Amino acid sequence: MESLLLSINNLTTQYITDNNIIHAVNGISLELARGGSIGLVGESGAGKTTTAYSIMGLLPKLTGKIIKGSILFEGKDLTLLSEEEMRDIRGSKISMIFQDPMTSLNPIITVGDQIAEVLEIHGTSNKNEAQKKAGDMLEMVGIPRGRMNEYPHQFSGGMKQRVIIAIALACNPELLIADEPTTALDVTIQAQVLKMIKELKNELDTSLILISHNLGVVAQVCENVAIMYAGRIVEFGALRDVFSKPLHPYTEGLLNSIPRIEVEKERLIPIRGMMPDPSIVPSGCIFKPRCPYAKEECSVQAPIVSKISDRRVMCLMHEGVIPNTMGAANE
Amino acid sequence: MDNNNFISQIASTGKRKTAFEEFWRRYRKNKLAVAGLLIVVLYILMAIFADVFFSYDFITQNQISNAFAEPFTSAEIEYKDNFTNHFYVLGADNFGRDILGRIIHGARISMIIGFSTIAFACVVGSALGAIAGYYGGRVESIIMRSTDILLAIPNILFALAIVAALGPSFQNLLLAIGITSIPAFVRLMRASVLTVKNQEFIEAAKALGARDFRIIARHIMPNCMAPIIVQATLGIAQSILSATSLSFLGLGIQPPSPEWGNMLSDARSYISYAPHTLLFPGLAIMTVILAYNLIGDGLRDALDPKLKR
Repeated sequence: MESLLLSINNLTTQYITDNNIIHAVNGISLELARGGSIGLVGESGAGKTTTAYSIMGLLPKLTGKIIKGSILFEGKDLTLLSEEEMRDIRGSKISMIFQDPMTSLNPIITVGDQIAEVLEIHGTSNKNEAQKKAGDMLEMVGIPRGRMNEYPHQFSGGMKQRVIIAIALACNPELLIADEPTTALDVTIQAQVLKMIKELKNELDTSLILISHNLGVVAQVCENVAIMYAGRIVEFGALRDVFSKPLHPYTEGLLNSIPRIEVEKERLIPIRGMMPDPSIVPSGCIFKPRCPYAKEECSVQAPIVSKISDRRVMCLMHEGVIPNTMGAANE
Repeated sequence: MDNNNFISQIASTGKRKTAFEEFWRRYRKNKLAVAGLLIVVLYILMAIFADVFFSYDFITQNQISNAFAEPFTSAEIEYKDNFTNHFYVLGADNFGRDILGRIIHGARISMIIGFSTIAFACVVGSALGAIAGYYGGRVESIIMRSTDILLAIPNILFALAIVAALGPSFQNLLLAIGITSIPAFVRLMRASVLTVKNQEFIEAAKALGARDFRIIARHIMPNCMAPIIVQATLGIAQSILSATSLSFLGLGIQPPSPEWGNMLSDARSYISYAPHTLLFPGLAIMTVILAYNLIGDGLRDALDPKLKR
């Protein structure tokens, strides 16, 4: 079996303000094999980005706190590292791509220098080498070396995102976290960028966590998928399994709200209601108010993670507490 | 090598404008600002080549017999044991010294004061402002409250206090004006940093493992330069004015050094008898201040990204 690169155990992250506690991430566990890829899917506010920031150690200093749990990366617990040690890991071993390519580049530094900067920060090469490597990286993402001395405003959105990918991969990181890398791009460019991420990931043997609210994006790139809801991973499994036979009502709801070419449908079925207020701790199942299969037990007993072959799901239906009516409704 | 590469290189260098060209294109549109720049360049040239026009000894040496010579008149002077005829372009002051010469040498002092005090205030103020804005919390409170205290004391009064305490010398004058110019830069830099520091590229820089110093110096401060440059230009005008005011009060440059405020101070007793002794140094102060302010306005328009056309 391949070795584990990243293993998150029972991670709980909260934002603590003067009069409120936001339960952003509530005890999630996740394993990522070396060279593997996980898609983190969920609505806005499901805690996807907070999870990424917890791994990177970039939570806002004053409010964000990891309450419990551990993040083991290459055997080291990232939550216990000092700021100094984290800084060495960021950019060299774990890189992150941000959502909006328009604002993720410094407008007054040339793209070549911005790529070279990360190499200089981590001391992997001297100035000349860094410049040369920056050119190589640009060519790797399909931008001619000759444009190294241009400024970000001279690039289109898709090209900026390529530059950002080049920066993220410059130090050949073990893990790449892409936070909605294609959300700000149009569909054609989106496809190009995703294809490139996938190819580079395989070429450089980098592991990937892809954050998206778009199941389609995840489907193109990832092997495994984790569905997040209200700071919990409600379902985890291989992409194919999860898409063909969802185990959690929320996953099913997500899949039902995507148009499918092979199914004739007048209307898509949305998931009713809104995500609960993250500052309130509910009793019972967090998804209960929106769940079409909910029974009375659901508001009393909180589901725990059930393992079904190599998949995991958080639902009372799979604990045998209430009858599993999901399959029936599907057919 | 790669043919494609070569072509794209040519194509991009052909149409690309440097940032400076782009800035100059926009600055040039403002005719008043260009006029201001010309005036300042003229004064700077005068300051640099002051000794070519008049020697310092000559303009500080009394020629009592020619006191209050009218503009555009000639008179005999004694200089280095020679008697020569001298043409007073702007007339002579109460000691018979050439006013044009004193204005030209005064320009040197004013320019040095303007640039050095603002350079000092700009470096210290920007650094403090950037630290306050970036770190926030207690550090910010300490820095900002200190500048508030400094702001609460009238500039001239504060400069007066420093000069009175340390004695009226050129260095003390620079120090006094430099310190009073700091708060404007601190506040401006802090405000700019607050708008820049939450942008995504700062977060991205952190995600690359950059240290705070690198983030501040390389990513934040260069993005805050536009308002600082404008403030520096206006600040030069302000500090020249402060210096002349202090000299006028007798606490700045000491006679016989030809400082504009000094010249005004000497001449004010003779305002009705020989108005030209007052008029020309006054005009010099006025044109320089006006020119710097025009440049400041022009820079503001040219550097403001919101006005990009």
